[in-house]
Amino acid sequence: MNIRNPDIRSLLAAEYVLGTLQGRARRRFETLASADPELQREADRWDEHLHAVMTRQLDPVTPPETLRERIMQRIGADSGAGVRAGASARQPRRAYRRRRVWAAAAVAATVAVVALLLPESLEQPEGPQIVQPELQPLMQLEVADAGAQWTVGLRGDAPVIAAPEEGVTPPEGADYELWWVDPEGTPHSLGVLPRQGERRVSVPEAGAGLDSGALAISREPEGGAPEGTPSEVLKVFPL
Amino acid sequence: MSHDDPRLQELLAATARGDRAAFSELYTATSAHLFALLLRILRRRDLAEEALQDCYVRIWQKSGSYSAERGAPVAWLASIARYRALDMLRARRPEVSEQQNESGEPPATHVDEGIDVQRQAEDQHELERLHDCLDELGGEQRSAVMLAYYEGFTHPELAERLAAPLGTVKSWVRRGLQRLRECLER
Repeated sequence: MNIRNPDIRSLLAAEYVLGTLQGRARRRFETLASADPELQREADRWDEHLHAVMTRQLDPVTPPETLRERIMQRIGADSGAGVRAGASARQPRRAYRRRRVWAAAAVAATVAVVALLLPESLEQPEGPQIVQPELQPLMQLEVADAGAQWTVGLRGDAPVIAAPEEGVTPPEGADYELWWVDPEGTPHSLGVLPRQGERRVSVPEAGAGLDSGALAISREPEGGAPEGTPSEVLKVFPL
Repeated sequence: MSHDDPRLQELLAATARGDRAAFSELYTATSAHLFALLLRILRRRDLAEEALQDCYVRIWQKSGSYSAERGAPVAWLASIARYRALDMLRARRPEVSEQQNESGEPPATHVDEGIDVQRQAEDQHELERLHDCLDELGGEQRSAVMLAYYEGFTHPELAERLAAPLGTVKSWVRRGLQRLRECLER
């Protein structure tokens, strides 16, 4: 298929936006578009066209006001946005740099995954596609004493903490544990840090905002703090 | 309520900086439009309400990736809403498909007075022209494109729904999109 042909480019972009471009062909398009701003622009144009043609004329329906409250609560409970908002107010440049690094990392990861899946041609296998939402990194927790860096992020709407790709090996009989320290200084366990992969973080009700206090990482006996309080705090990350 | 692009672009930029007041204003300005789209796709109020929450949380998180060259802000917002709704629809496909009506007809309400789009007269005219383009498509092409857009149907699902061979359905979609493009470029 000749991807330079403007008609084919436009049609691929249209089918991508419409959703009928599926499977490998869809991923192939994403790879091409990430390296070809004009192709991305063509997809954005189709997004606008189809929106104008299909959606814009719908009668608006005002949602119940409770939804706004719930959304505002959820973004308050969204550690990433809370961290991001706080950080950008205090340290806009650092926050910006950090976000750019994450964005670059996310793009790199996407490209790598797509490259692995790249087919020889644009021929598309059919069938539904189940895509796990991409991990959106929000904060890096680097602990020199542990020789590791965990990533706090969101997968879909779920807050998760992810071990570095190469995994973490705590000393024999030990584990690392994550804490939220409330503004009064009381630590609340968020669970043992994963050695491999990632796991969900359940934040206590009181600290749902994660926009105050601090996160901390401690070294504990294997399985986590026996007394429910940190044994040896390795590092504190103010929020 | 104003849908002028520059204002929405400002609100999105402020949201990306973590400005909750701007985000709330963005919600005020756009949620009725997105909610209508979600209702149209999901056809169930409870699901649409759930999707609306998810989609604004996502907008909060993704606002930094919007830029003016990505096109009209409201189209960008709507695409987030549509993808979220289609994900939900696919996850629930068997249940939902029983409730669907059989046609790929356009929404019953597509009057101009609905959304208060304060664009220039030129843009308004353009909008009407775009919508006319849809009416220019042949019945099957139109159904195929609309089912793909609002139901997230893949080619094989379209073939099943429209009781036509896969190749035929693919060409309906392709021809429909081509004719839309020709119409849009006229």
